[in-house]
Amino acid sequence: MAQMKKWIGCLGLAVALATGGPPAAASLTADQIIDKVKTNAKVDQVEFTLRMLLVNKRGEKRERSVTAMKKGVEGRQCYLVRFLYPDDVKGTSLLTIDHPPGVEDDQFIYLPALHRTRRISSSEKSNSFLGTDFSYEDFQSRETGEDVHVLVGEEEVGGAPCYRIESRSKAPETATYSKVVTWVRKDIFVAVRGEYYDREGKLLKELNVRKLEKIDGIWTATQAVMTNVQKEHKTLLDIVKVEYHKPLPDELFTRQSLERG
Amino acid sequence: MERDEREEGGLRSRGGNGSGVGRVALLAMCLCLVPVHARGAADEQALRAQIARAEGAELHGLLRQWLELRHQPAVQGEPAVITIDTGAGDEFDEFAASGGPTAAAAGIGGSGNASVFGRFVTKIAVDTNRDNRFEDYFDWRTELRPGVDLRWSDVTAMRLSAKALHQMRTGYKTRWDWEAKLYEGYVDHRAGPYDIRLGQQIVSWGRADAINPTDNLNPQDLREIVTISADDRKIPIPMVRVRRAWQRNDLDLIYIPFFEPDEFDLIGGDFAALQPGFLPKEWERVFNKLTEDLRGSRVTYSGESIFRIDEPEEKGYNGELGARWTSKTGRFDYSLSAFYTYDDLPSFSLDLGVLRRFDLRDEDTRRFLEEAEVSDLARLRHIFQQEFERQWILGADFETLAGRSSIRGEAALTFERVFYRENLTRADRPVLNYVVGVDRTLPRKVYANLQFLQQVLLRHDSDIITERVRSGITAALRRDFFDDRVHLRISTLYFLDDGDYFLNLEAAYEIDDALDVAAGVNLFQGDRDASLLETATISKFTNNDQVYSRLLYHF
Repeated sequence: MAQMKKWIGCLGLAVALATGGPPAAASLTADQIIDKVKTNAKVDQVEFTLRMLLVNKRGEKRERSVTAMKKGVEGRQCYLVRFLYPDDVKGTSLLTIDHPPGVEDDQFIYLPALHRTRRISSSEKSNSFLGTDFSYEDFQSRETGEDVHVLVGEEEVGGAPCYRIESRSKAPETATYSKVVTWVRKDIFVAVRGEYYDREGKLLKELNVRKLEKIDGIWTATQAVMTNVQKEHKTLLDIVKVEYHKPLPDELFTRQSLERG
Repeated sequence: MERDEREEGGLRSRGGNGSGVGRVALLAMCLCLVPVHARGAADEQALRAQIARAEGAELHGLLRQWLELRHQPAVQGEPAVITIDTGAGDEFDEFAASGGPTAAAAGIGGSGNASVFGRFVTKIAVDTNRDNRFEDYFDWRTELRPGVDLRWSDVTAMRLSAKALHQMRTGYKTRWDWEAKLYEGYVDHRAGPYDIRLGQQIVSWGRADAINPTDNLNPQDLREIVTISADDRKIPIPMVRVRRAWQRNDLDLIYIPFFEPDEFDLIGGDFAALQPGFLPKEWERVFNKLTEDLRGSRVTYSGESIFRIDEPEEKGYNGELGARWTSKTGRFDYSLSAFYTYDDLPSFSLDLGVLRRFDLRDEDTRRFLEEAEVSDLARLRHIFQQEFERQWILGADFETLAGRSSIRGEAALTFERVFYRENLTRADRPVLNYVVGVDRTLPRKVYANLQFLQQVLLRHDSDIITERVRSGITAALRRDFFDDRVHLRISTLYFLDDGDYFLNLEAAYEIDDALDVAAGVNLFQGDRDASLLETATISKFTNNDQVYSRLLYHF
């Protein structure tokens, strides 16, 4: 009987363990790794303020500041970005509403000078965001199933072992990038490096995370550099304030809200 | 398998084949439960290695250690910051330490308490051709527009801004005009799901570009017409605005208590209603005399006027009311609007009986008109009567995506507007104005915008001077260069019926985030035989071609 109990105990332990987590790290698929990264980054609501420094090949510098909010509303992820600086775009706001894969996300921009809100088309999503090396599309999230992910190997980044994953869109005719390569730290499942390839297959941009901070239990990339290798232009990104789980009202993510303040 | 082995834990492999599966499965379940603390990574690696080799009770014990390790709280000294060398260390440290502008905007949407903003713009324009002696050929316009946003609470905020304008023009005479006034001054308050804005403000309806038939809430400064943007022409006026939004729908209600007309020049500006060549030849010498007596000064409608003015009385029932419902179906956004308003431009009625008494073939009449002073001519005011007509404007607009293009459209049906017959009597008719367009970013990041617009005069009569249908297109191309510092733009308004067009070419350079300079050309082309009552617009101003330069500073 005692032995039976021990057997049941072990089996119970096994069952309990079986209810959580993916299989052994050594056999994780690329999709599972990407899912893990998204899961680690998944929060209900967050607000953060970030500064960006744009540096061109001549060393000339310009600065940008935005505040951004994210929340799930009626089952869809919504993002609101408000521009703080420079003064000529202060008050400009961008609202993104995610839709399921296969349905294009909604993006709207409010332009204070025009007192109007406009819908952004997909042709504009690949455009530069405020002259930075990020595009509007870079700020949208993608579902794991929208791309084909392949685990191509492992490498060290900053002394830490990382998975190296290649991702290609399942809709290449409309994709901005022909390929994205991501390095994900094996210990904390955070992306620390990325390479973005243009539609001709040439390296276009590199993203390097400089600093990770654990904020409210969540590993957060708070400093990063995006470099456009073709234009020899880079953007330094510095997140100066992050508030996870900050209560944000649903009505903040509406077109009407864009035109406030 | 022996019974004892089974009783020991049931984990012993059962021989060669499937027995290893359970073990591997158990291992797999254990090893990836939760993210591992950074410090524990080395311990985890060692433990994994041991687990892989262990069996039975030893395995059981190691698994327990594994669980304890994973659920350990962060030990003291565990790093909460990981820094990775990207080669941009010094540059980043300097940037992070600089503590640059992150002041949140004030206003209900923001979190700051006060923020100052504004802009300063100065523009010099030179006419390329001087057609008549009264024309201005040099124009220097400077505008300062400072403001402050104040946030009183999470639900109440206020905006105040002013506009100071100085203009120097040289032509017939050198004149300096200046004005300073409150620009915007309103309070925002959020009461539950309602947004309320009270005060002097600008409201923009419609979705098309530059030409918005449904956007009639604010009067406009028409003294410069196309040479300043449509949005800069808008005059803020006192309004009450209440908005209520749901996730997909939006209701916008407007009340304008006090009527304000468009500002336009009667005489004396390059875009004045009365220009040399507009009046019949018999009246041309009268016009010249008037202009000389005024010493080339502008007579702006909102200023002195020798004509009788009938503006709506400032009573509550004389206000303007508007409502706009916005919704979406899938990717199709649309709005429906209704606006009970006044036409912001006055209609002119001519008293033909009085006019007939002024027979210019009569020598005495002609001498009177030619020698009369401005005050004498004021006695002519009974010839013209200005009136601001009540109107209903029903509007609709939409916006959608088609592939990589945006499609927008807007239409307004006005009941009714004043038109003129050949005998100078008026004809009130409903009129439909609509515009539909497409825009898209083309290869090489060229932004292109093309719109078709049309005015259709309903219940048209053959003796009404205005054509029944008048059509045109607007087109714009824009491209940015050198890291978005240089902007090249070309835009045009082209009337299909007569070939008249306005063309703007501009190049702008951003010196830094606050300062930019631009240079450009405005061209007006048309058949310059338009008289006062002809509906051709561009051709009236064909003598206004100009080159200009502009400096703009934001703060």
